[in-house]
Amino acid sequence: MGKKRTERVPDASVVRALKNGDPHAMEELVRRYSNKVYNLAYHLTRDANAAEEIMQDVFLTVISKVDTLANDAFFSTWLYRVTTNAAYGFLRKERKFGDQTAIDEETEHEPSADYLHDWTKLPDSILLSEESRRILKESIDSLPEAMRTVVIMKDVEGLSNEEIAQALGLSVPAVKSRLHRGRLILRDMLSGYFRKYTLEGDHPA
Amino acid sequence: MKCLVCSSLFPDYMENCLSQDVIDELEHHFRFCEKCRVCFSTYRLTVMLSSKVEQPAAVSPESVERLTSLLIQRFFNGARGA
Repeated sequence: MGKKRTERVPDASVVRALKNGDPHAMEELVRRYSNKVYNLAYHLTRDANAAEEIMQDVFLTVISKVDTLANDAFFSTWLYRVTTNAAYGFLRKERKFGDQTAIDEETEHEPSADYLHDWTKLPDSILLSEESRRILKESIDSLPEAMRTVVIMKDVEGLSNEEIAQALGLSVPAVKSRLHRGRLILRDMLSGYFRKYTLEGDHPA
Repeated sequence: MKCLVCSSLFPDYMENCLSQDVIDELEHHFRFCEKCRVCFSTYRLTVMLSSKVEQPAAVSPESVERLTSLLIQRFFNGARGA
């Protein structure tokens, strides 16, 4: 594994080298994933100290148990699963775990009565203002936990549906359903918030 | 196409995972249904704003170094790679 990063070696090869006891491989995995693990933990817990502790615990866990990983190519999704579980553990301990109401995957979400309120022409100075970001962040945090986690993993962290499904032990359709419903709720919340600006009249694009 | 079906296709439409037939049907529906058109454009913008809502929280290089040292100590008897 003494290879420099001229081209990216697949995770599976690095994990295989780690299983063979190569310390370079462990360092490479830390280099590749420490930020991703930290970010996911931070965005799920909103706590920088917890995120750092979780990052450390996650790497201690996965490195110590790497021999149990059957498919080396699934290293990253395993890492995300351990991270999510650790974040849930922290939130439970802090009693910050949100609404655990079971989600009915099949129920369709009807767009709200705000559907004809088009706020897409508002200028970036409003769409991306401090206040707008705060409202959106609070809206994400107010989602039922099952939706919140998926929205953060997909729309904030940029993971794929397949990675999220494997990390959370869900089917891809279940991930998509939670994501879609969470997004529709956020859309409704933002529509309510931006209404005050669209009512004020036209804004230059 | 019914509005409820149209709305359920938003995620796959955004990810370009629909067949051309379904895309044509969806876009035809958008032309005649202002409700779905506005719902989709605000939905898409919501997703875009969500991707920008968080500043990337970077872990400090010191933390990464501390973590690496801990792992080397714990699992490799302190022997670092060259």
